[in-house]
Amino acid sequence: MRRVLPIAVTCLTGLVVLLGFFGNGDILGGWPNLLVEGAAFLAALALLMGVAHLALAHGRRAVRGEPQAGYSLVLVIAMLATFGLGVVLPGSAELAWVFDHLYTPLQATMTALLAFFVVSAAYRAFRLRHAEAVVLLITSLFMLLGQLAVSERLSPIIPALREWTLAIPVTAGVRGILLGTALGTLAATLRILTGIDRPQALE
Amino acid sequence: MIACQECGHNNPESAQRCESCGAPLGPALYRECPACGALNAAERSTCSRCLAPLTAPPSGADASESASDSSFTQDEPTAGAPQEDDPLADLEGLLPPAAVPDPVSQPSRFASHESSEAERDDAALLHRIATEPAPLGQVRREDAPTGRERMPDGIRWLLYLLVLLAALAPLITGNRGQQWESPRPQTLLLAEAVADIAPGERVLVAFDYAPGYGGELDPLAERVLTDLARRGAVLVAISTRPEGVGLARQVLGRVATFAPDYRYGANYVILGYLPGAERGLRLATQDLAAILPHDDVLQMPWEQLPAMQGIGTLNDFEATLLLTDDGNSARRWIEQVGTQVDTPTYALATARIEPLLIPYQQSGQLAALVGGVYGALEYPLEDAPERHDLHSTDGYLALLGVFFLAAVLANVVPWRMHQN
Repeated sequence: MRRVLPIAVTCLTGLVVLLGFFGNGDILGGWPNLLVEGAAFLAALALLMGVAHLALAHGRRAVRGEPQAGYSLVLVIAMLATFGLGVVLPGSAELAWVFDHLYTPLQATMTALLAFFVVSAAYRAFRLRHAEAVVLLITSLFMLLGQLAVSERLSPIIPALREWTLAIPVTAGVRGILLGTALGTLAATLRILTGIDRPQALE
Repeated sequence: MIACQECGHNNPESAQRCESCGAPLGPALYRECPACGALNAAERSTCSRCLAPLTAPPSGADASESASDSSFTQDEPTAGAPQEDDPLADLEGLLPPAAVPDPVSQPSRFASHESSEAERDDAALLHRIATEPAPLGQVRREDAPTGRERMPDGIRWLLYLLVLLAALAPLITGNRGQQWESPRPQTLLLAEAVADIAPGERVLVAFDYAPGYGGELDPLAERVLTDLARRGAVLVAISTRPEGVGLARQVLGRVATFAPDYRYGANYVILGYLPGAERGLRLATQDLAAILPHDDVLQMPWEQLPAMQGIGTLNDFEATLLLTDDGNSARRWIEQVGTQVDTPTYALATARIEPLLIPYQQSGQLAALVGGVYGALEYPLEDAPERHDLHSTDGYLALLGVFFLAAVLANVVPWRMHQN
């Protein structure tokens, strides 16, 4: 029973939610919606537990004065302050200030660092070791050039070639990825629904 | 895996030469942590799992040999030697002596074969790899550039400095490159579609991008939404990402300052975060009010919001404007919503995912696909809000030069190092 029950629940839940996508969405009444709402609730609960665990772990580090405890202290204070604001004053100007002046600039900073990482990666990728590396180098620099407005002034062929590259070879590759993803998802779903894969089982 | 010292390619343990560049390979360079037993790369000074200090790393020509000598401290059982951990030791005296074969006197079929030091090391390595979980940080070790592939510090500083200068280029040149901008067909298509929106018609705006990509998508969103607002369209914002709500508040707040008498509740509404991914979107096509019965800013029901009157499902909007930096998010909207509603979907995407969405644009599932900062530069809008981050044309040009330089240096510097 301990092995069969999780599989049965998984299969049944998966099938109900899957059937909910067919037709007008009213094949099984409100059951698919109820199950999805339950999953969203569980995910929220798991997130809450994860946050609590993170706060406890870093709080413990800060209290014990372990190395780099200062970072843990900042993390706990920032987390509790943001969490408190969100619970007590949802949609308030204070919470908006945290988003505008802390969260957004920090994320933008991390994204801005990508420019340096990309240059480092280009140094490695642009080394002409094989024929593939030559193709990569030419295509990369050509696409970068084609992205610029000045390319049309240099030659009208450059933007046309860029459009062709995006429309034919790149699209062919993307279609392959999309089809592969769809087939992989289908296979993984069938394996879970039929009980071949049991990521939820208590083994 | 054996990482090639020349090019960093990961080769199988059996390889004698690198499969990528043909350089000769040494033996597998693993070292065992004395504290936890995890395998580590030879060049590491601390364990990647427990951070305990490792013994002195091997160096020079003896590196491989010393690594393989010191890697596995486990005593190899030799033929004829007694086993220290006899599993039957506790049963001594309980079983008849004849029933327990004496391992010391037991003949071995392989007794005559003398395995070499290298063979024993290989066998021990195979045993450890097959039974040990992968040490933490192994992926990082495999990806780390080595040998001539590693960028010299001087080159790194030079390229990083040039990236910074490229960002500042528009301040130096006055951004003269912007005069070369001309709208692309997809941008014009979007502008024409916006021009067809009549006053009072509703447009659903999905803010599905991270704040980190705001520098790329905010200018485009501001221009298109300002155009819609000035034409009197009602904008209803929604997001399948929690942070999208904050972005909607930022962007629509600025748009309201560019369009006269554009007020929250009457002309635009932020509905909030829509959870549930695919299923949540599919439900929204059936009964949006049931999922998000209140707006996010005033927490008011739809009945009290003039902008929401007459809306029941996503089919009641004239168009969907999808702002996204994530291919999966875009796919969800196109596949779960686009297939259920009769109205067109326009995607404003980062340049990073623009190629991923081209198949949908070619198939007609996306009525238009406009990408990146260039979409904002090209979008025709009179009295457009001034944004300093749009003055970047010369910066991109300078950055292209940096990439050209990186390509040259990547091939010249290793060659010079090899010559020396």
